[in-house]
Amino acid sequence: MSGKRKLLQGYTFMAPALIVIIIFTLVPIIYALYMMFFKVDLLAGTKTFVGFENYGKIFSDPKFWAAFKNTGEYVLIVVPIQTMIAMVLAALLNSKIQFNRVFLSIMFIPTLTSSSAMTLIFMWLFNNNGLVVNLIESLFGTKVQFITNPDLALAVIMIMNIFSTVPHFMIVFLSGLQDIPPVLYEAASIDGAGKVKQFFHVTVPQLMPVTFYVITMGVVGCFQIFDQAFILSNGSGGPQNSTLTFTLYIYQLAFTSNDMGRATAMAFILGIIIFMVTFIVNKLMKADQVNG
Amino acid sequence: MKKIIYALLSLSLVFSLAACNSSDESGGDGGSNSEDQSITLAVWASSPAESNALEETVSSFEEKTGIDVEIEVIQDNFQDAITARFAAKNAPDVFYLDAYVAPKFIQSGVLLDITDDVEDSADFYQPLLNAFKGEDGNLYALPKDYSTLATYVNTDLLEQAGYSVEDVPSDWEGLVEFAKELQTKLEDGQAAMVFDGTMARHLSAFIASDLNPVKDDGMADFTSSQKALDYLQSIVDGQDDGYILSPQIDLGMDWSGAAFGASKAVIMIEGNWVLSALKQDYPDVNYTILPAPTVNGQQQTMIFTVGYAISKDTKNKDAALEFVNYMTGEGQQQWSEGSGTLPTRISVAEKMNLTEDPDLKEHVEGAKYGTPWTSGVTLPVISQSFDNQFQAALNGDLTVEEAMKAAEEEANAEIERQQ
Amino acid sequence: MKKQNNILKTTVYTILILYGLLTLVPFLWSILTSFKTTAEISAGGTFFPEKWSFDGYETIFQSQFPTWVKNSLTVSLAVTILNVIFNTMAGYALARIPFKGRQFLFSMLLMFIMIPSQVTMIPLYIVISNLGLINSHFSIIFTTMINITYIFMMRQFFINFPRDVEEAAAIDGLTRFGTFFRIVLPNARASLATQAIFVFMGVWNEFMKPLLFISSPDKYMLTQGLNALSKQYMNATKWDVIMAGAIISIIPIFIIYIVLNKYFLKSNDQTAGIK
Repeated sequence: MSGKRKLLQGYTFMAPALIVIIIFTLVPIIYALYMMFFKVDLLAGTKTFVGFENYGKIFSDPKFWAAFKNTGEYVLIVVPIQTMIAMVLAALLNSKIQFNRVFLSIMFIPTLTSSSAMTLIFMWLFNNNGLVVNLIESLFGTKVQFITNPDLALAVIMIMNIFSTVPHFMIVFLSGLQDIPPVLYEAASIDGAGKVKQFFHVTVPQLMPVTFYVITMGVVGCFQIFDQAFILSNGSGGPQNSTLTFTLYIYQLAFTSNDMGRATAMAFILGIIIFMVTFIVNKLMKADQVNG
Repeated sequence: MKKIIYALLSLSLVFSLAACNSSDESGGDGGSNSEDQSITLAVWASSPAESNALEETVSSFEEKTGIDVEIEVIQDNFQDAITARFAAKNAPDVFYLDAYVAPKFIQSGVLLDITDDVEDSADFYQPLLNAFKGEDGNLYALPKDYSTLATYVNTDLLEQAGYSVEDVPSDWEGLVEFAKELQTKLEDGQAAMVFDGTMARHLSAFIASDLNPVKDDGMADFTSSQKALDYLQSIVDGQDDGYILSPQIDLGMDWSGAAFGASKAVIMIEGNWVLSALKQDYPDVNYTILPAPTVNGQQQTMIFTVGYAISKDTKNKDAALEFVNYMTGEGQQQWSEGSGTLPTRISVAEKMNLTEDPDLKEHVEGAKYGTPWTSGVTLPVISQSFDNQFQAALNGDLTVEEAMKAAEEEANAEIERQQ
Repeated sequence: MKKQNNILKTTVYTILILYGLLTLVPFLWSILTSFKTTAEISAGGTFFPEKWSFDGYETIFQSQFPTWVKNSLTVSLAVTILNVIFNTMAGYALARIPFKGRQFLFSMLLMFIMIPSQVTMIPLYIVISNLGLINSHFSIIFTTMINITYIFMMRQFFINFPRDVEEAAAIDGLTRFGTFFRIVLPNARASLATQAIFVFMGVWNEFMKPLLFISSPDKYMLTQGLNALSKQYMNATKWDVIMAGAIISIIPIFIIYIVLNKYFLKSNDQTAGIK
C-alpha cells in the first residue's frame, strides 16, 4: 500500500463528512467572526463596520444581564438537583433489586420526548387551570400561578429540564457504578458500615470523576436552553424577561431586533463561555471519550 | 466503490443545483398575461371564521381574474418569519402587514410603493390609510380591515347586582369608581372589570392625558404627564383591591373573552374580535356594548388595522396589485361579512348598514375618534419596554412612577443601541 | 440486621416507585386530557374524562398534522441513513487508514465538537439562504447529515475492531471499499443501530433548525408544527387538541424505544451528551 493510495482512500472516506463540515460549520464560524464587527440589517440588506460596538451594546443591555441572571439561577438550582437525583436513583437501581429493568424503562420516557411536546405537556400541567395549580389549591387553599408569574415561570422550565435530563445522567452514573471494585464495599462492610454509610464513603467518592463530568455537561446544557423558553413564552422571554435565555436572546436580536451583527457577537460570547467549560472537561477526561 | 461515487456525485449535484437556484430566479417575464399567473399570500393564523372568509374571497378573486393565489398560513411569530424570509430573498408576493410594524418595513425599503395604483383612495377612512404611509408621504399598503375597542357589559350580572346599563358611567374615573362599588355585590371569583395591561390598549388614553409616549424624535416618554401616571395608578389600585383584574393572572382564564363569556367578569374593554367567540362559544351571555370610556373628558379608543403589502421584489407586480385592490375594494364586502371584521372603505360600511347593528355600531363610531396603533419605527421597542415594566408595577415590584421611569430608560437605551 | 435490611429494601422500592409514578403522571394526564371535550377542560376539576371524546384527535387529523408527521419521518429517515454511512466512513478512516493529515483532521474535528451550535446559528442561516435552501427540507438534511460525536464513536469502535477479518478479506482480493461495505459494516451492526436510533431521535425532536429554516406550513417539521398548532388552540383552551398532538408526536419514538430497548440503555454510556 503506497502512501498516495492511502491518502486517496483516506480522503475519499472522509470526503462527505468534510464537505458538510466545511460548508455548514467552518464557513459559518468564519462568517460569524467577520459579522460580529458589523451592524447588519438583513431586512434592508445593509452592512456597516462598527468594530467592537456590538459588544458594548450587549454589555449595556439589561436583557443580556437578565439572561445572565436567569442562566446563573438556572445552573445553581438545576445542576445540583439533577446530579443528586440521578446519582441516588442510579445507586438504588444498581443495588440488587427486582424489576430494575422496568424502573429504568419507565424513567427513561421523558428523555425520549421532544422538548416541544414536553413543554406543551408541562404548560398544561402548570396552566392556571391545570393539574398542579388545582392540586396546590385543594391542598393549601391558595391559587399559585406559574406560567404568568415572573418568579415562577422559570421554575417550570427548571422542573421540566430536571425531569428530562435525570434519566440520561442516571445512565451515565450507572455505567460509572459498574466500574467500582466490589472489594471496596466488602472492606467497608467488614468495618461495620451500613448500606447508607457505604454510599457516602465509597460510592460518592468513587463516582467523583463521573460526577464532575455530569455537572459540566449539565452546566453546558443550561447555557444552551432554547426550545422550552421559546415555546413557553411564545418567543418573548417573558413575563418580565424571566424566561429569557442566552439562546433566545440571540434569536430575538437576529429576528426581532433585526440586528444580525449583535446576534453573532452575542453568540460568540456564549461560545467562549461554553468552550471554556467544555475545554476543562476535555482536559480532565481522555480526549478519546469526548462527547458533544 | 460505484455506490460511493454515485452518492458523492448526487451530493455535489444537489449542491450545485441549490447554488444555481438562488441566482437563477432573477429573470421572470413580468408578463401582463394574467391567465397563468400566480402569487403567494402570507397570512397569520386566525379564527375559523376569518380563515373561511379569506378562502372564499380569494376564490372569488381567482374566478374573476384567473390569477392563482397560494395562501400560506404562518402560524407563529409572524413578524420574525416575514423578516427572515425577506432576509433570505424568499418573501411572499403579498402579506399581511400590521400597522404597528409597518414603519420598520417601509423604512427598510422592501415594500412596493403603491401610491399611484390605488383605486379611489379617498373612499378609505383616512386615519387607516395614513397608518401605512411612509415619511415620504407615499403609500405602501392598503388597509384590509380594522378593529376598535369598546366597553362590553354583561347585562345579566349587572342586573343581578342591582344595576342597569344606564348606571354604567361613560368616563374612566367614573367607571373605576363604579367597578369598585360593583365588586362588593359580586360572588367570589367574579371580577367587576377585566383589563389588559399592554400598551396597545392604552396609547389613546395616554394621548388623551397629554402624553405622547413616542416623541417626535422617536424616543420614549412615559413620565412627563402626571395625568397619564394617575390613569395607570387607577388600574394598579383597582388590581390591588380586586375590582379590576387580569383574566390570565387573577382569574386563570386564557383571555378576557373567555372570562366574560364564562360570566366571571361584568365589564371588559375589548375589540370586535371577541364577538365571534361570544356568539359561538358563549351563546347564552347577554351583553350591551357601550363606547370606550372617555379619558380626561375626551373620547378615545384604539384602532387596530392590518394592511396588504406587496414586496418590492415581486415577480408578479401586476397580479399582486390587482389582488390587493380587489381585496380592499370589490371583494371587501364579502370579506367583511364573512369574517366579522370592519370594512375600511366608507362606501362599503354604508352599504353594509353597520351603524344599525347593535354589536358593531360603537366599534364603527370608534373609527372616527380613535388612535391607530402605530407610531413610527421605535414603537415596538417602546411598547415592549412598557409592557415589561408595567407588569412589574402590577405585581407590586415597583411603584407606577418607578416603573414608567424604568420603561422610558430601558426603551431609550435600546433605541440608541439599534441606531 | 435482617430487619434493618428489610426497612432499607422497602425504602429503596418506595423511592423508585414514587419516582416512576412521578415520571408517568404527566404523560397519563396528557393522555387523559386528549380524550376530554373542550368544555370539560374549561370547567376543570375532573381527572378521568366524563365522556371519552375523540374530538381532539379528529381536529389534529383534519389539520396539516399528518403532513408534518410525513415531513418529519422523511427527513429523519434520510438524515439517519446519511449519518450512519458517512459518520462510519469517516470514523473508519480516522481509525484504520494511516493517511497524511489524519492527525490534523482529528484535532480539527475535536475543536468543532466543542463549538456550540448557537455560535453558528445566525451565520448558518445566511449560508443556507445564500444557497437558496431556506424553506426546503434540504436545509435540515445538510446541516444534520454529519455528526462529529458519532464519527468519534465509530473511530473508537474501529480502533478495537479485530484486524484479521479485514486482512483475510484483503487476501481474497477485495478492495478497501469492498471490504468496508461487505465485511466491516455488517460486523458493526450494533454500533450502527445505536447511531441510527440517536440520530433519528435527535432530528425528530429538533426544534431550532426547523424554526429558523422552514417557513411554509406545508413544509413544517412536526416539532414546529406542534408549537404553531398549540399557539392557535391555547387561547381557546382546546388543550385536548394540543395534547392529542403531543401524544401522537411521541408515539413513533416510543415504538422505536420499545422495539430496540437494549440499544438505548447500552449506548448511553458511549454517548453521554445532553440535549
